[in-house]
This record gives sequence, C-alpha cells and structure tokens, in this order.
Amino acid sequence: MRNSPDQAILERAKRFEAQALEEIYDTFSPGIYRYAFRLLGDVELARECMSETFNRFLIALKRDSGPDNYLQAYLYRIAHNWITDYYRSKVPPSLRLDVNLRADPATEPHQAVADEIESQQLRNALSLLTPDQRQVIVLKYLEDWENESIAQTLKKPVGAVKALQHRALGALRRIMSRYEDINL
Amino acid sequence: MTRADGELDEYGKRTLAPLRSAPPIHPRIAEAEKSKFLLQGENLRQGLIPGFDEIYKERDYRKLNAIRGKQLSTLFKALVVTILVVILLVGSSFTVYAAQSSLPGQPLYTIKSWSEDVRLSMTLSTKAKLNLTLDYTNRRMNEISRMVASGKALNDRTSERLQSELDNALQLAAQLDDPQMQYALGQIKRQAENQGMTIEELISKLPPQAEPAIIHLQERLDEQVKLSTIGEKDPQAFRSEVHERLHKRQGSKHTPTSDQSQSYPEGLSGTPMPEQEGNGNDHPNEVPGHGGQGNGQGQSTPGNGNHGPKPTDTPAP
Repeated sequence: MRNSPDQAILERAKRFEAQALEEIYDTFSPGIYRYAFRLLGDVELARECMSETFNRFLIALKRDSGPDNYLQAYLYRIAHNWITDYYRSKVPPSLRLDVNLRADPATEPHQAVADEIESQQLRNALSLLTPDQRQVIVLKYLEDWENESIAQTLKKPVGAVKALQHRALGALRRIMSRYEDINL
Repeated sequence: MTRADGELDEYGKRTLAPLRSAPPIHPRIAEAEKSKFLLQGENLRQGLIPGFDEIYKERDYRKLNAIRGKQLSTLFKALVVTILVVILLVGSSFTVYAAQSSLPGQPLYTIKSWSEDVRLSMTLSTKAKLNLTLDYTNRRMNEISRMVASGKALNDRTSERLQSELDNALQLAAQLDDPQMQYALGQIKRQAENQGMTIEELISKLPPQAEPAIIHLQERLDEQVKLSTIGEKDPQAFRSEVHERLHKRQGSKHTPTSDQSQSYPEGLSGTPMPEQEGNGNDHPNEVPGHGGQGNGQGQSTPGNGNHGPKPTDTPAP
C-alpha cells in the first residue's frame, strides 16, 4: 500500500466501515509504533503516540478533512507532529538513567548499558535537529523510505528533501562529535 | 551522488543503526488499542459519538467566548470608569453637602463658599439671585451666631462676605422695575431688621468690650434698613445711591491702603449715620473736617479742610 494511491480504502474509511478501518490499523500501526519508539525511546510514549495518531485520523475523517491519498504519509505526519510537540514540551531533553533495559541474553550487561546510552544520545541529538531534518533522516535511514515518499510526507519537492537530508546529517555529525568529545 | 554525499549517506546509516532495533508492541496492548480504535470508528459510523462535532463546536464556542471576553473587558472598563465618575460625583456632592454646615476657618468652608458662588452664578433671574443672596446673608448671620456661641473670634472674611452680600442685595433690587424693587426692598428691610436684632442679642452676650467687627456689622445692618426705606420712597434716588456705592466699592478694592473705608461702612450721603445724628452736618459721609463744613464735629484733621465737598455726593432726599 506504501506510496500507492489509497483512494479506495480511504473512501470506505470515510464511511467508517469496520473492515477498512481494521485493515488500515493492521497495516500502519506497527510502523507508527516503531517510528515513535525509535524517536522517543519509551514504550508507553510510543503507545500514546500511536493511539493519538489513529484517534486524530478518525477525527479528520469525521470532519471530512482527512487524506484523499497517500495515507501512510498522512499518518506519519500526524505521528511526527505529535513527537515534535512532545520534544517541545520536554526541551531540553535529558539522558534518562532510569530507563528499563531490554533483556537480551546474548548481550553482556555492560554492553547493554552502553548501547542504551548511545541510543539515548542519538535520540537527544535527533531532538536538536529541526522537525523537518529529523523526519527526513528518520524516514530515510530508519524506515527505509524512498525520497519520493518522504517528499509526499513533507509536502516538499524531492530536491528539497535531499538538501534537508544533507543538512540534517551534517548537523547530526556535529552534535554527535560533541557527545564523543564529552564521552572522551 | 558525489563521493562526499556517499560518505554522508554511509554515516547516516551507520550512526542511526542503533535505533533501528525497536521492540514490537505488546500483543495485548496492541489488541486493546486496536479494539479502542475500531470501537471509536463504529461509534462514529452510528453517530454515537456526538463528541467530535461537539469538540470543535466547543472550540468555536471558546473562540466566541474569547471575543466576548474582550468585549466584556471593554464593557468592564467602561463600567469601572462610570462607577469611578459616579463615586467622584457622589463623593463631591457629599463633600459639598457636608461643607454646608462648616464654619469659617474650617477646611470645608472654602468648598461652601465656592458652592455658593457657583450656585449664584448659575442663577439667571435677578429676582432669584436676590432671594439667593438674602438666603446667603441669613447663612452668614447663622455662622456668626455659632462662632460667638462657641467663643470664637469673628472672622474678618465672614464679616466682609456678609457686607458684600448686603451690597449685592441692594444692587440686585436696584435692577428690578419699580414695583418689584419696592417689594424686594421691603424684604431686604425686614430681613436686615431681624438680623440687626440678632446682632443686638449677640452683643448683649458679649462683654462690654464687644468686638468692633460685630458693632460694625450692626451699623451696616442699620444702614441697610435705611437704604431700603429710602428706596421704598424714592426709587430713583435709591438707584443713584446704589450706583455710587458700587463705584466706591470697586474703587476701594483698588486702594487697599484705605483701611478706614474697609473697616467702617461708608455713610449714605444725606443719610445721617447713627453717630452723626445731631451734629448739624449736612454731609455726614464726608471725611470730618472737609471743606470747612465740619462745624461742631471737633474731629477735624488740621490741614485737610480745604478740599470742599466731594463731587460725587448725592443730596439727601
């Protein structure tokens, strides 16, 4: 369904057909949850983001202001806006020391802690980027989207997306190098 | 893609790789969220959630309320200003009202004088002005009585104000036509007689060394009675006399050194003053010793007897 016109299913969704809604939810909710978790690093926040994304989608359908096409781009845009609002309310983000480490029998405890700190630093670095920069590189390198799909989500030309991607990576590299200096 | 772009792209993949691993949502939570979503959708389909429309109606209502709030704020400001103005007016009215019972020398007495002047200036009819002026002379008498009763010294300002009001009453009467003037002079005379009796009572209560100001007022009231009597008999002569007194009064305001004329009432030409009666002087208003006509006065001032009669003197009726 990705990048393909979603007019048919959206027409059914606008009539609140249960089957259409279920299909949309099953297709996109795992990705939205994953996307939220990657940026937020918290299971509960990711669930809240996913829940609110689909809730806003229903409200948009009811108000007849929902998408006519590119449903995935629309849903990720809602999730992205929710995360951006969350970042703004949490500025400056801080490294959480009370995070629950995921149990992985194959990983040594000290390695698990190091990985988690690295992930938190990365999320903090992403939170310091502009919303568009953040969305571009997350969709590109974590969700493996093509530039065309990212352009639809951001409602920008592909060239602008590439420029954003370039600037985002440059900014991320500078931020991460500062973290590395601190760690050293 | 340039080499630099390629390196940057590799950097992105490598750097963000740690975030790629994300745990799947717990199946039980996923199922609960899905059920909730589908239930919401079903309710919307059946129109069971009036909520969404109402949510936005509520938002619109809040916006409307915000606009109303601004309007109310403007109304509230206007209301506050109105209340302040009303308080100011009511407060001023109470102050003026409270000032009416004040005595000379008290802080509110200035407000009392001011309110009387304003009221008089706002009165258009001569007759009404005369009535108001007569009322004011009664007020002055009342003030004097209260001051004497409380053992206070008579205030020069009160005495001067009373004399000024007595003069004004005569001038206002002179502006009326003859019948009205004669009626008004009857009023003035009766009132001056009553006020003179009040003064006599006050003097009787005072020690023998009665205050000169009180005695002086008594003399002025006697003069008022006599002038009124003249006016009742000869309106033309009365008007001339009043006109002359007005000129003298205005002149005396420009000659502050003439303490004598301020301290004692000027006698009416041709109208003997009480102390001048029986001294054979046809011009009791003249300065003693003037013009060599001060026969029998014995108070001539040496060296000042060659000025002759005052050109403005009016013959007695």
